[in-house]
Amino acid sequence: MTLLRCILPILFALTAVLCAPSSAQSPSEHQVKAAFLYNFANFVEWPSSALDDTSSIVIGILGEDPFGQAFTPFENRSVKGHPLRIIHSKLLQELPFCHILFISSSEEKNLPQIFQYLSDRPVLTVGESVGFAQRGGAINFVMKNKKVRFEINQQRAEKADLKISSKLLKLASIVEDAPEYVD
Amino acid sequence: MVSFRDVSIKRKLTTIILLSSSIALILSCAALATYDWISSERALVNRIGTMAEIIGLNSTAALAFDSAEDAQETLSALRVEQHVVAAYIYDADGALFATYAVSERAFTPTSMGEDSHSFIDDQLHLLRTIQLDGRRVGSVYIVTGLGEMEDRLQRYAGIVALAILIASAASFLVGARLRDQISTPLLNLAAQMRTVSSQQDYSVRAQSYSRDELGELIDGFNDMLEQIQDRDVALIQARDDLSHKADELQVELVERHRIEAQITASLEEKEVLLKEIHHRVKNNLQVISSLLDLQANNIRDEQTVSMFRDSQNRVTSMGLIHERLYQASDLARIEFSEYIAELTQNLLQSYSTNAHNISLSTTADPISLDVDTSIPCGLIINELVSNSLKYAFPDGREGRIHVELRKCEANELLLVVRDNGIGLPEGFDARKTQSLGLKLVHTLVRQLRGKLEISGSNGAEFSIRFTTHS
Repeated sequence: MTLLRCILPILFALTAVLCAPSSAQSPSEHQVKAAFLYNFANFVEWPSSALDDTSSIVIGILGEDPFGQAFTPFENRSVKGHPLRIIHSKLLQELPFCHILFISSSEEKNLPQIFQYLSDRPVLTVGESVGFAQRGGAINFVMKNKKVRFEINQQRAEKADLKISSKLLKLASIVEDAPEYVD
Repeated sequence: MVSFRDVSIKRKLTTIILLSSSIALILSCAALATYDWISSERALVNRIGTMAEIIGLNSTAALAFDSAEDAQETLSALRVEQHVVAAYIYDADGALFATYAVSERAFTPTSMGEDSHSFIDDQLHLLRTIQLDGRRVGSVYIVTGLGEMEDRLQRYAGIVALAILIASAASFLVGARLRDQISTPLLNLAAQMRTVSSQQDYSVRAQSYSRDELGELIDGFNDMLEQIQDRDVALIQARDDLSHKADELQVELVERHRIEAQITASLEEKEVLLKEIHHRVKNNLQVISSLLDLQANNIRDEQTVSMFRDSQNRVTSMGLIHERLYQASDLARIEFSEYIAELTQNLLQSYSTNAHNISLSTTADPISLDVDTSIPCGLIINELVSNSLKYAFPDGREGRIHVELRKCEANELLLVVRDNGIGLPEGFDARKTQSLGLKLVHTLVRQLRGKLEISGSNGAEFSIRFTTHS
């Protein structure tokens, strides 16, 4: 299990590098995830304290960056009239306020601290670790039939004062808090 | 087959009312149906367009998160739409993402770029792009049959047929009333006209119902009848007047005939009287001549006997004129040429003792003369011929006497008595002669207002020109 956790990011990175040139034909897993992250912004509403008319929407990537060039198509785009910014950091404290925070699987062991730090701030946390959503995250990527799907913990999102569109909820598997979740 | 032109007005009006109301209804219903078709096309486009937009809106998440199953589920909501044949969702790159199909036939949109719709083969092909945050993330393509609109049109046709039936019945009922407003006065008028023409009764008057053109027509008809009636009366009056006048004329004519007959009768009476007078004058003259003859028989003196014979000849010459007058058809004139012939023969006989070698000839144009001219003319001839017989041929000489009466110019006559005897003595002057005969000739020529010319060189010739009246 631990081995798998170590190898997975490398595998992801490898596939990302290998598949990048041929992304037009068949996008890689992380290209899909990057697109999903961008699209989440369209289906989630932040409280006005977190997102006023002038501010950018910030997507933060914490830990090892598995995306490589996957965000390139979205770099100059905007969402709902807000410019999009993508910031990467290995340390949570170094990151500014993020609207969407992708927590790389490399940070899996730090998740309790991270969730505690974020507390109930209006941050949409997205992960790709097993049980991420049950342990305090809002959205967790999972693979189903070789396709990227996601789990949503609606309670957690509501606590963070975020409104997730029903359209998005419809596509997701809904999960609930289970702090001691073990796959 | 009776021509519409010959159909009765009542039927014509009914036909016109029904036909025009039906045409109006059909035309307006056709217009409405066309309008309805167009607007229901528009409504269908709107409805299917809205549906496509809702599907698009509900598919944004599915497209954004690559969930074809979800898109499929959204499309399957079209099941409730009976006429939707097929529906497709395409992703941003135009690749087929989700399909909903009733039939097995597959459809593909002609272009993917922007919203469009078209009607092809009784189907609506409608494409709507799916937008997410202002960006095209895919397209919805719906193919719908027009069965709904066709059903609607059929229902419409049914309603129209029913409406025409009801409207025709209503307009027939209402129209019948209105029609009678026009046809009743006309039919009555026609009936009146037939009565007038068949019975020659001009006292009939048609009843007027209204003040419109029909009323005017009927009033005009009545006026016409009145005029005819007036004219009839005037005609009868004129005819009576005329026959009255004719009667008067008849009476007058009879009167005239009577007067004419009277005049004719009195004329005849006058003629008889005139004849009688001439007859009596002639008889009396003959009696005088006979008396002179008797008287002369007792006388031995040659000269006296000669005088008696001259007188006797003068009387006879006048008697001859009266005899001819009462024998002639015209009691006022005699044919003088015949008279000359008879007179000269009488004279030749009277002087036959000393004139058996003398020949007498006459040339006369046919001339009729009245009594006033005949008597002097006759006497002149008598005197001159007597003179020639007595003196021109002494001692039983042979000779010729010629009497001529000619027409010269208008109304002018020339009387010539000529002989080829010894001629007149030298220095003879007719005005100074002692001869009673020549004196008489002078007097008579004056009476005739004539002119006497005498030539005595080669025999004797007396020419008298005179003018007759008429």
